[in-house]
Amino acid sequence: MKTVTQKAEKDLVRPGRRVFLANAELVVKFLAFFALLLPLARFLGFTPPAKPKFFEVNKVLKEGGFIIEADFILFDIANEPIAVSRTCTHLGCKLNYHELEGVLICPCHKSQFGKDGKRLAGPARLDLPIFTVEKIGGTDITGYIVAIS
Amino acid sequence: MKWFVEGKWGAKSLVALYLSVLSGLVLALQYDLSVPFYSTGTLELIVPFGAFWRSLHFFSSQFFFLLLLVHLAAVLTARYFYQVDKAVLSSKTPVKNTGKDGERWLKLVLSVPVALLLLFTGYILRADATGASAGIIAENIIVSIPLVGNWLNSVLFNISSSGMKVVYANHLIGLGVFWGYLVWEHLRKYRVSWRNNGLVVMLVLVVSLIWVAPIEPFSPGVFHISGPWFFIGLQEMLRIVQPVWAGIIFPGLALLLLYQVVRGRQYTSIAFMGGVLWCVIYLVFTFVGLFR
Repeated sequence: MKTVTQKAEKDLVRPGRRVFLANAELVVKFLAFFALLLPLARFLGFTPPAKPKFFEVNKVLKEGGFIIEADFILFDIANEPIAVSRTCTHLGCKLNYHELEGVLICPCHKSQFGKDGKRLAGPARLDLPIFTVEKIGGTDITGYIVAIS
Repeated sequence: MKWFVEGKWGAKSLVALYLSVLSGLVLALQYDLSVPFYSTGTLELIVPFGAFWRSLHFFSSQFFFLLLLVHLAAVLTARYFYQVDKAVLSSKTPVKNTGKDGERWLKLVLSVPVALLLLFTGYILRADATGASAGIIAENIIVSIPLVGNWLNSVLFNISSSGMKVVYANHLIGLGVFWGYLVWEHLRKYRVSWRNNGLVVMLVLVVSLIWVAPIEPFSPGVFHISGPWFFIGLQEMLRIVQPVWAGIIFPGLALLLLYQVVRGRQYTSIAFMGGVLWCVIYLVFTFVGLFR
């Protein structure tokens, strides 16, 4: 049976083991702490997508025509309605449609986008969001419902 | 040059600010932040004397900021070309150079962008085509600041989430109080009387009676919106430079250079030349924007 003195001597001979264990414990505590922080940070940092707002357009698009609303422009492209966002992806200004040139232009910094929302020129880097459109009235269309997300 | 340096530009600016605050308080009693553009429209069109109070608030604020810039230019001229504090020229008594000199100048330099923000939030509250666009642009620039952008936006603008609430609070109270805190040490020494600045008061009143404060309705056929005059250069810069560089770092550099010049400890000449270069660059962008 080892005496207390013998045990203390052994610890004195192998101090590295104690230090290692103490450090390992600290590392485990840190890892556990960060393991708990990560889900918390992910949880708090996540912004759920906004609930879509449904907007009813009670007009019918002419062939190749367009309808301007506050948040989007509805285009008829090959007999299909496409709703393109009017919010510029550069700094958020409201885009206007230049009918002659067939492009959406930002009045603030002159970014340009096609009718399909693709970025053509200017400081904006991203394409415009396209919103889902549903026709009202089946074969005899009376309007559209646009889901703005 | 002496008349320019010794001109009481600060006092004139302060009198214009008094007019701005008083007319702003009158406007605030009618302004409805839940329907900001409608409210501005009704003020302009149907509220008795609404157009006058709007004009008075708009032009007195413009006078305040322009005269503040002239005051700043006079201070810089005195310090750089005459190597003397402007207070020495006017009071004939030496200015004590205490340990708080750096803090004093830092507060005064910071008061310039805060005054600019006061003016700018007024533009946003108009909520017309220019105001709405300016607000959204400012919000997006602030959000682009790494780490603290979202927090700063929630304190300063937050238009997309809470409409005009935060901007209104800042325009009416927050920025005014902060500006007052920054300039308190500077202003408490001076007494500015209306009588001695009657010319400025008359000028602001006459201009407000003759000219109408701008308001631009939204229109689908508009392909160019020009920002407030002091941000036309920034607007032009944003076409070619990333928002955080054009909207934060470049203006921040101007403040650093200004602080270095007014503090006058070291590298003053380099900072002064840097400041002049900064102004030239900004003016070039402004002129390009003006004639677009």
